[in-house]
Amino acid sequence: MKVLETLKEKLGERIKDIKIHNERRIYLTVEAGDIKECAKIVFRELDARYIIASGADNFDSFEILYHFGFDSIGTVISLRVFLARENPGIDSLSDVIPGISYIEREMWELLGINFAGHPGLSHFLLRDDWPEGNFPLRKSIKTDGANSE
Amino acid sequence: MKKPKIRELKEAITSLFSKPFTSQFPFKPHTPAKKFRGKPEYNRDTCVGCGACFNVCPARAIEMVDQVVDGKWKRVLIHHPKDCLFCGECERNCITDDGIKLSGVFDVSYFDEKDVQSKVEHDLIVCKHCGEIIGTEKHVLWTLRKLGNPAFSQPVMISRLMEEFGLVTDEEGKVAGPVQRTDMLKIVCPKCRRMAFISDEKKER
Amino acid sequence: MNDKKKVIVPIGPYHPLLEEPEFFALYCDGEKVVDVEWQAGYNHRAIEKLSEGKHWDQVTFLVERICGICSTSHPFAYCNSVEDLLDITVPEKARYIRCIIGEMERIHSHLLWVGLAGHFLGYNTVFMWAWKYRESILEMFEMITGNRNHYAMFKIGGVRRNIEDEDIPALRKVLKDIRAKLEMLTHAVLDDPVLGARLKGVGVLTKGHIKDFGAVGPVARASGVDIDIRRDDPYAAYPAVEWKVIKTENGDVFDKAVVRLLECMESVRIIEQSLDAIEGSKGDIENQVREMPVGEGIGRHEAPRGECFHYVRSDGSNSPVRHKIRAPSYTNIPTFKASCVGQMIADVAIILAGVDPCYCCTERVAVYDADKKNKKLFGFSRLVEMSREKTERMRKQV
Repeated sequence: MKVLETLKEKLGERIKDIKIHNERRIYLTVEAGDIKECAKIVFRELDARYIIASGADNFDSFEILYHFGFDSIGTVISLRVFLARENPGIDSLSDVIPGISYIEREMWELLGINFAGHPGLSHFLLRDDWPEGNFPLRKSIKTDGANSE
Repeated sequence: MKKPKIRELKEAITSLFSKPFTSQFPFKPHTPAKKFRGKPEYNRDTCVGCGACFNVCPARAIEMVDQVVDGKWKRVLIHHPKDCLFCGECERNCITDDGIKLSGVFDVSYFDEKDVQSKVEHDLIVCKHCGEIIGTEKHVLWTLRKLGNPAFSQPVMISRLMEEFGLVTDEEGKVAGPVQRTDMLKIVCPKCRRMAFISDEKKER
Repeated sequence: MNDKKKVIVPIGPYHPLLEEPEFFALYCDGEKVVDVEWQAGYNHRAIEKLSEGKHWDQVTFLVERICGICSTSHPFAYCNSVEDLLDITVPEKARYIRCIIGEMERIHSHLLWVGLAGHFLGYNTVFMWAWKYRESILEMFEMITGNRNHYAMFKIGGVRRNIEDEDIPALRKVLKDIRAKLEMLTHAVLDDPVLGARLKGVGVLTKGHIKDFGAVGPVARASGVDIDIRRDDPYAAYPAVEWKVIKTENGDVFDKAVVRLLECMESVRIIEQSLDAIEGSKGDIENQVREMPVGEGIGRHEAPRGECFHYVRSDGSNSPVRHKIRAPSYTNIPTFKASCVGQMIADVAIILAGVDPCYCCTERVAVYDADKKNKKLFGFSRLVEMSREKTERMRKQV
């Protein structure tokens, strides 16, 4: 659990909550405003590998998990942020992690989360004339396409 | 490449003088491996129509319809090869282990889908009072055999057996009017049997 | 960038060497590629959304259909993630069977890549031979699992089917044959002067590129990045068998080919040891799961193309509430931005192929000359032809 000690030391006050599932799966909750600094520390200073970010719809809020891998010890650290239900938005990490821009575009179009400072938020998976305000991965859209919102 | 290497030359010569590796499929029939998962087929004799295959199918390739045909309730199970994943879950989860089997048939192209569908039809036992579906006849009998003696604590099974031995005719088995305590041993759904039990007690009081 | 001076070569949407129809726009200055853009989603099947409407057990079949070549890698990662959520272990025999299936798949996937790489370079004999050797692996799959490609072997808590003792001798024989063939093929690739001249120094990825884009698998290992989920985050029976991670330093297409071929040899070793372990054993092959707790789980598997990542979240009900899937190609494909830039257009086919996105849907490439306003349309075959012409030129020089 040395990695957790280092993370606690480096991130300090920014960690709001720690959930240790087991020694290889650790979830840390941080404020949405701090994500850029936290990602910089984890990705650049601690040299973690960027895996992916997963966005989720929690009915009352949105949630993004940024997964980072520490491959020398086989641990996955997930930075969790919660976003407001109305107009969810967060800083884009594309200047910290170049590879993240595709998944940010995906979350933007599928969940409707806005990424401030992203170089090109355009449709990636959905077609270009996809109706505005229709976010297929939100829970209000049923699997048969009906919108309950 | 001025000097081709010996080992590649050897492989090339063996390849040149051996038969083509691919099979001559349309001209020679192909026998799939023993465990090959081909088109699932219902076995009319051993399928009891419980609907387990319909419930577990990940692709919803099995259709289950309960309908009235000529005044009788029937359950039809249809397997649609066009949706099938050939995963074998229906066979694995079959309660009789034998009701639906994956065959070695791999060629399921068709002009009319009905030619390749596997279909099985069962009689349903319905509540003689409210008409609610209880289960297929074969399923009830299968459960009876499986349970052995304890099955005789189950009124539906007793009455079904009595019907089979000719102790009760179909007319006698019908529930006429509101359910009464005497209807408890007739073929009624659990809901109606509870009603019979409770209302009868009320009457006595 | 002044677009007027550049020729844009659109590749796709229906084709380019990828698992799904995808679109690349190559910005060219003469013969040189100066920028690449990627557009995906032409075959978006909403698997993550569909997964929210299926039972936990049915999802294994859904994720198996994400990829047609490495069809076990997604169920493997998914089962790992649900087992992480449930905190259960898998019986020993099932762990070995999982390893055998996963490694057999790696052999056939890598052989498929070697064959196609040969095809794109004009080495059609390599294509024919590699696919011939691969065929025997597929036949073994049909024999032990019942299908050549979608094995339906994985189940949360174990495997669905046993590998019977009577099947093992045939499997051993195939492995023995394939080991000899792989050795032949590896040497043929390694000391072929034309292949060396054609592939060395082409599409180089540095360690920095790998870190920036998060590339995984053989792509990362060819650049000297020492990651392999099988060793770093041990699962199944990988810690119990003896094998080593293959790593090379140069990061070009030649090294990617070497990594893949040598990995096949390691896979043969893993399978042989696993077969020794399960032969004659009568152990259980699955742990029954009765209840699904609330929680979340992460599962990873080293697929032939790299780390496959699954994240599942449960609310205690019959199906997942969120199921995030990241296929290895998702982070490997953006590396084109680094590897294609500065390369000749004739090399693009093999660089795109070097990452091993599944090759299907081969369609057409159109060449637009933005400067002269004329439009030439030609098929993907033309790009392959250009690649072959270059090989032919080099063959004459060597």
